[in-house]
Amino acid sequence: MQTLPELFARQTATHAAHNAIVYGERVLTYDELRARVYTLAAEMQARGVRVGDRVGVLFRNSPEFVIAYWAVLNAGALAVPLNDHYQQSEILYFIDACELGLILTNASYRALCETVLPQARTHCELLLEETWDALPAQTDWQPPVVDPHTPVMFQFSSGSTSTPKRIARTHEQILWELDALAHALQLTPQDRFLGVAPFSHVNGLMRTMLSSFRAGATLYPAAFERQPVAALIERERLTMFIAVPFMFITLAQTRFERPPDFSSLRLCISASAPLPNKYNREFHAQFGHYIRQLYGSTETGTMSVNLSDDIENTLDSVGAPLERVSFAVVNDADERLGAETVGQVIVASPWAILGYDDLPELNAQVFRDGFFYTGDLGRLDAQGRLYLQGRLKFLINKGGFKIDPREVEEILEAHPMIKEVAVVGVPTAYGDDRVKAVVVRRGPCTQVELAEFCRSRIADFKIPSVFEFREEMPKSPTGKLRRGMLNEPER
Amino acid sequence: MNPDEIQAIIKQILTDALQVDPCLISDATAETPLLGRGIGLDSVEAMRLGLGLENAFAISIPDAELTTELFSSLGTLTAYVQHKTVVAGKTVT
Repeated sequence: MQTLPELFARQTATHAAHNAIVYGERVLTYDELRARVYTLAAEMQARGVRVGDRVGVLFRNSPEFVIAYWAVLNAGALAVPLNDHYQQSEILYFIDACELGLILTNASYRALCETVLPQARTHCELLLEETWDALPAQTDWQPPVVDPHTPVMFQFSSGSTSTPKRIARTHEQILWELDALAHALQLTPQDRFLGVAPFSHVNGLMRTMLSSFRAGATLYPAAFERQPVAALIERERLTMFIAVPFMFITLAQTRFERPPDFSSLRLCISASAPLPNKYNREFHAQFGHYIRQLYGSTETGTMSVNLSDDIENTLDSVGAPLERVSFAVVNDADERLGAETVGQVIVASPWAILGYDDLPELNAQVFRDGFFYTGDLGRLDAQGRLYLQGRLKFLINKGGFKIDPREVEEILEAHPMIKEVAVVGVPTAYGDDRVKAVVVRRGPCTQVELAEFCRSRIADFKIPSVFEFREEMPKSPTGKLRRGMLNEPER
Repeated sequence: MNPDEIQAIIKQILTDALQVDPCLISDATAETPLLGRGIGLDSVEAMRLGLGLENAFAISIPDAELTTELFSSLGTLTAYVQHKTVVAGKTVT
């Protein structure tokens, strides 16, 4: 088995009568999922989608996201998962950057998409979920042959450049990562996954949606709402809860009228941002489980999970590398550092990409000698467990979503009353950041006006919630912005 | 507890726990929206404000009630909290 359509065919045949997805009252067995996916894939082919074409997938976590994603892959196309918080300019960027010819979505996002489609450089159409039920069922349809070494999806990573960097991962890389996760987490068809982490993001996609499928397990897509989610875990005896710190912290701090029973959970895993120990202990006190931290990135996929037997004393750690992955910690001179010494974390992994698309200069800096230079600071302990200690690169982490300050700065620089702007993250007590814009004004403008200016241009989580007006920016004698001083009072 | 006292505690949560710019908070009135054009909270921050209210006022807020309408203004939220505390018969600590 070398491609994702082959995995799909195998799993839907092996587990045909087993529940693949449970969503409220709706239940789809693996066999029913295959029928829905092949019907949609055949329709895409009939509309002209060919092997190697790019197709957007824009849904909230739902059975439709899963059906659409697998239909794109089975049609031989590349899937481009789109965040459902995106606004017009972001959707347009992804249509152009990926040359999307088709977007699978539903009526909720129709108006947003139809506004931007005429501005796109390529011709792009919508295929709305509301039309899927009327499609002719396909019983004998077979997916086209695809090369396992070719890309299966495009994802995007923030940081270092003003626009997100495009990342293409192959069938082979995705399958290797899924195999490693299934092995490390000892996944089985009896597992039941809570699907609250966004499937459009690497964490929800790889570690929940696709891992559940790879295990032949059952996926429960859901919106993150505290009482319904707690009731779902208890009622359905869910076993796997893989999410982001924001979700675990929120549950840990919630006053439930009756403490929900989470005893069925086998593993709680947090990724995308550090989880402060304080909240991990609160979660344990309330629900009886420690949360295990996972380390991954869009570039490398999953690198490690803290599956230590001594979890109580290693809560901070993201664990030892998965099989076939290796870590090292280096200093500024690129020399390897010993245990307990902080430096930049570099990673070698067979399922990491070898470079960004069309960014040769950046690739030469961060992909070297088989390693990806993560920009994360960390240290290894004597047992080879990694502890993260911050970042070298200026990236803002908002509830698990990474935000490139330059992207927000470029939006604000277009405002006529802004002379200079710099965007930074202000650490919160929850382990993530608030977005702060430091502004030197050209003329009168208010915080409310500037936030409103951003609103239709970028997703809500990227909009600064603090605007600080200054007379001038802190700069070095050579005129370079001192970004590190932006969280200090103006002198 | 009267609306002014409740509003003062909400403002305190906004500045202390959510680190909203104190200038924005001091200018806020009952009509100030909490989301978007106003205090500018996003969905993550609105959830955190909900948690802060639950703990400060010893009330329970179902997520189904954490709606855009609830955060439409500081006054709306204040009235909601006052109603909750009265219904629950809680003494605010």
